[in-house]
Amino acid sequence: MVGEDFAALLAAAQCGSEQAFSVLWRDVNPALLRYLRVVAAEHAEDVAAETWVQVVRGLPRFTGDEAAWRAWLFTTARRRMLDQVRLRKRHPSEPLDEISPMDIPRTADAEQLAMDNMATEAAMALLSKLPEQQAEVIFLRVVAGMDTEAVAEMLGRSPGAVRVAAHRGLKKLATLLPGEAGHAPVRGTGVTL
Amino acid sequence: MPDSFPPPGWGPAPFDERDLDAVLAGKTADIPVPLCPVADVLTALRAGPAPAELYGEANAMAEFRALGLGQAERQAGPAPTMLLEALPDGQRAGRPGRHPARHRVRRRHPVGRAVLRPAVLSAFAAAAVIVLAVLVTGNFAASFRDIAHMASPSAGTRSSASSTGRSSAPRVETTSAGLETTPPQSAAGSTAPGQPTPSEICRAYYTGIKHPGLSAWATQESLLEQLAKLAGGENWLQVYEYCLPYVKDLFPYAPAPGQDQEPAGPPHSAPGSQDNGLGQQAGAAASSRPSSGSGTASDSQGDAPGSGSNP
Repeated sequence: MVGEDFAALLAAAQCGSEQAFSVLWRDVNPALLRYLRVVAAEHAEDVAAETWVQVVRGLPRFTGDEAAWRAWLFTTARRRMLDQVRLRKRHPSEPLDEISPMDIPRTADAEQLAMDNMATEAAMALLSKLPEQQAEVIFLRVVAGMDTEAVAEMLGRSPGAVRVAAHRGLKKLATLLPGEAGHAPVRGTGVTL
Repeated sequence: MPDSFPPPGWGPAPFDERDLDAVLAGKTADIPVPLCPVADVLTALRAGPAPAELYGEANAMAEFRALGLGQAERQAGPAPTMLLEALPDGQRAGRPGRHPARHRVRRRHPVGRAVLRPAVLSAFAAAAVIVLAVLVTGNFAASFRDIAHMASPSAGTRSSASSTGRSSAPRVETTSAGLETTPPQSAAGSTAPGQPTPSEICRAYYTGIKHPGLSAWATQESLLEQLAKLAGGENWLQVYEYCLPYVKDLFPYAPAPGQDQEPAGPPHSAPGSQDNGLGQQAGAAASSRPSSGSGTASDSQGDAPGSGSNP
């Protein structure tokens, strides 16, 4: 979250400041990608790129605070994701042969990067085990930083239904964690591999 | 007293909805212990960006620039992410704005446009002058010659020089009927078959005099030069006398040469001012005149054009 500087950053970005836009992009894009990896794992990067194209085009006309900014961005991403899903259904494509992880070329710091991101990846893998609506609500509440009302408006559901879905997801997540017992938690997060 | 322990699911829940809301909001200070692993998972989701999650910044920035949003900052100062030359801060602050990318300049201001604009304007101006001249004179070739004559006076000099017979190359004579190529003529004024006859030249010249709007000034001048050679002198009276049998129908009330009344003549000539040797030169012209058959006999002079013994 940017915080108090958001209004100044947004105004600067709307006036053409690349540095301000970069700050906004770096603040939101990781959360956006994580959200899209859960709801649209296969084409998360494509949807994110399309989302930013649309956001940039609408940036000069945007007004609102940081919550509205994130709600607008994630709403745009969700619509693009649904368009992508419909497009893939109309034009199915044959995936290439899966590449074994051993065949993927690795750089010298690939392992270190993997270790750094292991906790986040493991957490995302855990949430992927939840029902889709519960996982989406938790992601929007936690990763996107949206409140219950904004998530409800975005998903077209009542705030109560969103709240119930989030609570059920957390309870489900709590039951999943002890089931992973026997493996050491990763970096004290309680997430096991 | 119960004689057995209750089942493990019984009893109050280890956490309530307020604890779940606190976990969702990231307030993990007073959450129950069973929710700590869940809070850790959510904290891992909020972790800082991985490098792979920032790879798309260049594309987003390119889109930002492509829409023209990032142009102001690039012109105002150096790019924040890439500096090609290391300058001290003082120089960097006073450094003028960078020029925009070459492709952007080319897209907005094509290079050839500035070069082509004068050429296009000149072409349009020339075309407009030609069309105007054609409309005024009704003769494309004559108007073209006018333009060439106006553009370079030396061309007119060369033309007049060649018309005097000093050049042996065929020259183009312009008449009201169009472009006609005539070979260099001798002083005798003999014309080859297929060339305009003296009667045609005379009628074209005096038709132009009678109706000034039909022929260009240059055309008239050219015809006068030819007639002067045919008549044996540049005196307009000689030309008039030479052409009178051919153009009598154009001037029914014109007096015959030698009478007191002045015939119609070009304004630049002095009527009646040069009348010496008239009959002799007219006779010489008549001797070299082809038999056109179109001439009309003169009542007053036996050596008038068209009344000779030529068949």
